[in-house]
Amino acid sequence: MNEILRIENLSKSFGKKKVFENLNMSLEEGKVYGFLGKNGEGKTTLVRIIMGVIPADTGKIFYENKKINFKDSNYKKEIGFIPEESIFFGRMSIKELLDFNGAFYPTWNTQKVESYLERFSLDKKTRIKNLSRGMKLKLGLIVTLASEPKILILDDPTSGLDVPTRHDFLKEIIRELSEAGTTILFCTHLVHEIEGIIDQLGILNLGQLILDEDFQKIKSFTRRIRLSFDEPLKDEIKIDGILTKKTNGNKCEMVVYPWTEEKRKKLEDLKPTKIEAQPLNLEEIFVNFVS
Amino acid sequence: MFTKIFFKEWRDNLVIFSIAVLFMLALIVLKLSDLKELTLYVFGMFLLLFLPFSGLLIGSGGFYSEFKDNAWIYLFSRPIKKEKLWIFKYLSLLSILAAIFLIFFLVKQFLPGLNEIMKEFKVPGELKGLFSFYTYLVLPILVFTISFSLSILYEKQFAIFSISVLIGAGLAFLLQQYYIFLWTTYLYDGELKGFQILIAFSFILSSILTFRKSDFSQAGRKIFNFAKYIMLFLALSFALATAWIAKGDLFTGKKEIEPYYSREYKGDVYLGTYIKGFILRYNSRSGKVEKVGGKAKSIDPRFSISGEKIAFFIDIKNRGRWYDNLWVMNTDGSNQKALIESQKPMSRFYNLRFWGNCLLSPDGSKVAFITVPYTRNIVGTFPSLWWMNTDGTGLNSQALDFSRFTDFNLLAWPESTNSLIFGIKEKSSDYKIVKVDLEKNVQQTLVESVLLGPYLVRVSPDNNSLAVRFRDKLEDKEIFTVLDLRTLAKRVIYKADSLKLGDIRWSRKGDKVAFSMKNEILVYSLKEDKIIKTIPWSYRFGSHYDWLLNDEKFVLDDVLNQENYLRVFRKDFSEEKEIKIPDSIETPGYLWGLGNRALIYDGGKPSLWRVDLNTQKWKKVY
Repeated sequence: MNEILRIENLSKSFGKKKVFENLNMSLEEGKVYGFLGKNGEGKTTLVRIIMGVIPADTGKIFYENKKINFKDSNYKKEIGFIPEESIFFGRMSIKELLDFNGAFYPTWNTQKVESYLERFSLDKKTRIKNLSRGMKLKLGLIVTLASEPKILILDDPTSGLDVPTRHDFLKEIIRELSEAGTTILFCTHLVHEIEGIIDQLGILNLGQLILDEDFQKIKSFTRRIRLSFDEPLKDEIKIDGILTKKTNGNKCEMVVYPWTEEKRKKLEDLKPTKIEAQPLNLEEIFVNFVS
Repeated sequence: MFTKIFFKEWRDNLVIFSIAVLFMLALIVLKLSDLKELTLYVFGMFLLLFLPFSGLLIGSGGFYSEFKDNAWIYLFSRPIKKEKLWIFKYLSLLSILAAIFLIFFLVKQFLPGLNEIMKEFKVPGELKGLFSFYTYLVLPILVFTISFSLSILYEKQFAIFSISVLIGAGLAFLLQQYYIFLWTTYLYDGELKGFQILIAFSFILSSILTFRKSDFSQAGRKIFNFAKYIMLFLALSFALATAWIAKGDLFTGKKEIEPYYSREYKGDVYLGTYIKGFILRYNSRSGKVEKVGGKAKSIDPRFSISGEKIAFFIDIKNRGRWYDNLWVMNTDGSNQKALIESQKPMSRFYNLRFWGNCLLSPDGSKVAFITVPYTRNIVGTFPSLWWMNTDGTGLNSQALDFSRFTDFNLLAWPESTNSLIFGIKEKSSDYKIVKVDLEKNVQQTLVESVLLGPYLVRVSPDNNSLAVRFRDKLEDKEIFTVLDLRTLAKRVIYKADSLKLGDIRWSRKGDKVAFSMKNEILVYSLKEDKIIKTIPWSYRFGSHYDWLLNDEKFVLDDVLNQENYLRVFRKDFSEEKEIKIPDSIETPGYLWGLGNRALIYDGGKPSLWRVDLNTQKWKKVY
């Protein structure tokens, strides 16, 4: 698989507040990358830097192995971006905005525009200022997808939407794109929504990318381990990869990544009366990683 | 892409354009209804208020929709270079202003009679100095550019509008101080017509750089970046303009030559300038303009040239005060030396300042000048006449009995008399010509009530005669006379109730004097004691005629069939030929006859031209 986007040592601060420092990550072509983080961790800042909306302080970004700068604009023809809130010129009608936007993209597909308009039941004559949030999201989708981007970047676009709309967006649209081979970077804090669709998972916490791994691998190798002993443990349990740990008398519960046979054997050496290893869902994985 | 942005901006600003159209409709209706006063009123409102106001309004609303709709993220994530976006928007909005100008000009041109009415429009007194046609056109574009450049900084259109007005006023003040600086440093005296372009470009570049490089999520830093760029570019603009002027290239609209202070000497013409440390000389042998001098910082154009020498004043600034210096040099610019440096504390002239001009004796061995005490108001002080040898020795002075003088200039140093002739204007009295005996310290008034003195007082080439116009109060007539400075005899050339006298020009030999009156040039022969020729002429004030070829020919510039011509006359004043003055010479002004060539100064597009009277070929020499 080819690397389509690569970020090297990216740092950004707003005044004295450091958002992230020396961030490194890469997107493989055709994959769906879930990018998680709590509110205010810097996900939006990162995607805005990628899209050239704001400059980074230091670091490099490579698109298809070519370095892109803040002042570059050509690469944006191949990247679609749906921000957290789809905001356009309120006075324009849907048609006017689509015409306006289409002029930026040589690959603008007017048939797709018509097709999506029909699918989303949007009336071209409607003024943008009169659209609901959900309708604006749909319009944002059309604006982005009609240019047939190679990469689609979504910055928490579904927050604030009702469940049916979210479902439609996530399960239908994203899946379609993914199957068509579009690379997707999906930034969100609504963890449960992306579990069924992502290939790669990244977690941003306290300015660092603390996890950047194949999602199935993470799922397979993250375990909640429950141990029971005859007596309360005197010594600390020392194995690598403990994300969280709780001890209650003679019981101990911890989340471990990566969970390996070697670690199991180490724990068995402590002679527990019971040892259980349970898989976690994405939400639980996220919570434990950022704790 | 440009067309999309173009139509978007036009749609957003349609209201302003519609108001312009309404103005034009109002003008048309009022004109057709013959309501002249109202037409002028509406025209005035449009010109003085609406045009600059619409420039401000359109500009300050440049990025208003982006702020209002918070559409920056959308816009910046589009595949278009930010500077391109800025330029497209700027040009789209500028086209709206251009369209407003266009409809105005179309209405002005094609509505019969409207143009004539508009010509009667008078700018209100207080604003007169501020407004010219140039301002009407340039000001709206300039304020539009400034406000559009600022519109990237803040969302509130009214704030941008107000700040633009303040910045515009601030820049006008700054420019005024800059002109004063140029004037006091003798670099330049006038308005820099092209400077507004530099200011506009400073704002454009600052705005584009800020737009391109700044993080729009940090408003404070964005404003700081803009401030940084604009200060840099404005400083560069001022530095560039100053360096350009100092170097001497004419970037400005103001003449650098002062033809009024020209002197013809031994076939060459010496021209004074206010902005150079040298005198310009047209060398009739080489046909080129040369610089004479250069050691002094700037030379007062009221220099004196005689006896192969040039005497001149310069100003020196020292510890916040200006001091006068008197210098001499040879006519080829060599041997420049200061005779008086009043800034030196031990100098006799430390608390004095020079007044009027300096004057060399015919052989160049002496120089005379006037001083007054260094006070703000010279009325009530007594001037002193000084003279000294041009080698720096023999300094003498004499107090002059004119405490109420306001204007003073030295005129002649007649031969074989140890006297000086000067003109003086005292408060509440007319200009008069006075002779002072340097040995006996006796002052004698030679002519009173001199009209247009010192502008129309002409000394003969040999320094022994003075052509002057004065009012004889006894006869109640204006008299044009030639005064013999040795015998003091007056020769009446012309007399009338009122003389509309133009220029006076002596022949090289001093035996004839030409002068213009209404629509004629008259030539008086001293030898024959009569007017020997009257030439019909299109009267214009200024120096438009001269002798050449050792007085063998006479040439003047005239207007024939609305075109400019040089008319050449033989020695007997029969007309020899007419030479068309090229249209590229906008306003023929001063004329000098040199050998077989005439030198003409174009006052319209400051330049010097030469024509060979034989070949009739013209050449721009400066």
